[in-house]
Amino acid sequence: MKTIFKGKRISAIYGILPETIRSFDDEMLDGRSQRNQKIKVNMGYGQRYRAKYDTTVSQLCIRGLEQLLNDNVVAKEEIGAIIVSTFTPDYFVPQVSNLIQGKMGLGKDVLTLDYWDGCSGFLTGIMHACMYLDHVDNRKVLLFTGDTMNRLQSSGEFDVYDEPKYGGDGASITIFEKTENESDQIPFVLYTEGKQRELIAHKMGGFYDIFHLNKSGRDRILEDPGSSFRFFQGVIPAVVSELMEYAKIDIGTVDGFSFIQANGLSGRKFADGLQLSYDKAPTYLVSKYGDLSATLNAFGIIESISNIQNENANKKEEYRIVMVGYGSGVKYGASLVNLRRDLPYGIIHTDL
Amino acid sequence: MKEIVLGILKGIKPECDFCGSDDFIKDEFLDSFDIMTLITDIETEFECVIDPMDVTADNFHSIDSICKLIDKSKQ
Repeated sequence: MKTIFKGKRISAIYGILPETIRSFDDEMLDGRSQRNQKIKVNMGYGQRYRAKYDTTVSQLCIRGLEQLLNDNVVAKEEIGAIIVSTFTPDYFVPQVSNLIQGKMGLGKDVLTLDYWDGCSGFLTGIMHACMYLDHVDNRKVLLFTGDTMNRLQSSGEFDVYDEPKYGGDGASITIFEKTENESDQIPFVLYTEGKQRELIAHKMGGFYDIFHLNKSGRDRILEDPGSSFRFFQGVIPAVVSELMEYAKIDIGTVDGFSFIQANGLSGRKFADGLQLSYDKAPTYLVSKYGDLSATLNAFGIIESISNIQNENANKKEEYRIVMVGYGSGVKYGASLVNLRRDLPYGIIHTDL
Repeated sequence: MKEIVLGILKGIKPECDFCGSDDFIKDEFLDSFDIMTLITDIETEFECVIDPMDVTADNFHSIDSICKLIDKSKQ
């Protein structure tokens, strides 16, 4: 899919984090061993956020929405649709979007959608949001991403492990709105390759083999270590170039990049492949937050905005940010958004 | 070069007998974490840049294959 969503923009973006931070050194059984310190430095691990065992995605999302309502970032009557990207929902049914709608007392005319795209979830969320915006009577669309993937690994938020854990828990809310301004455009490129679906596999819990839960995908990794890395590094940069060409935008005019990255090394290699400076393309996201799956794109945008605004010389009225997603499917693509300097944004810290 | 590569491997997995293995991947001496760690150590030690497309099991299964990769990356 290649398109330009016209008359649409992001009007706010927030990250939501749980309370507990776990450092790599503390979590690893022998965190300070030579091997583990090498992994930590070379892979770019540092710390990650871990939700309490009984915290669910809906709780993180609702806590964030409560804050935005409280701060008048959005009003209930302005909400036309709730879209949720997660692969760790509270339940199979009812879905997280329905939990949010019900618990927040939103009307029956508010559209709800859950979908399951893993690390490409923010990118595909842009597509869903922009499409929904044409059908919600000029109200806003709220895109939630969130995961509490650490619950897959153990019950104790202070457990110690013998191999690196890098998944981070967190959520995000991005508000999309229609505008009258045709120059508010979101160029968008998305591809899906079902043939490559095994590159990112997480089969535990599915109904295919429900009585023999496979708690590890490491056999796949051992068969061809680096396959997913090669795909990301080899295929995705060309999609960014394709987006730039399609949108007729010079990559040198982009102010920030937010791309999915499994770790710091993957991020650095990706940035190097596109000849991006690390100032514009944060490669420390996993080191700071853990691998947040789709939510990492939101945090990449938040970090980019923060970095741009910290540059005292920067007085631009709008920031041009490119997002790159790569996740289960495999789905991959890129999109570009122009964010106004006064955009409400930030990180909401919770006690969840 | 082989001695240096062996030293790097032992630094990552001191408990593994790399000299006694024909295939580090099949023998489960190196997993994806180890390979990523190895890439950074090799690039630093030999001042080269490994092409992401060369991150394959074939290129990391033995000391000889790693040395060939380093030679290629230095070109």
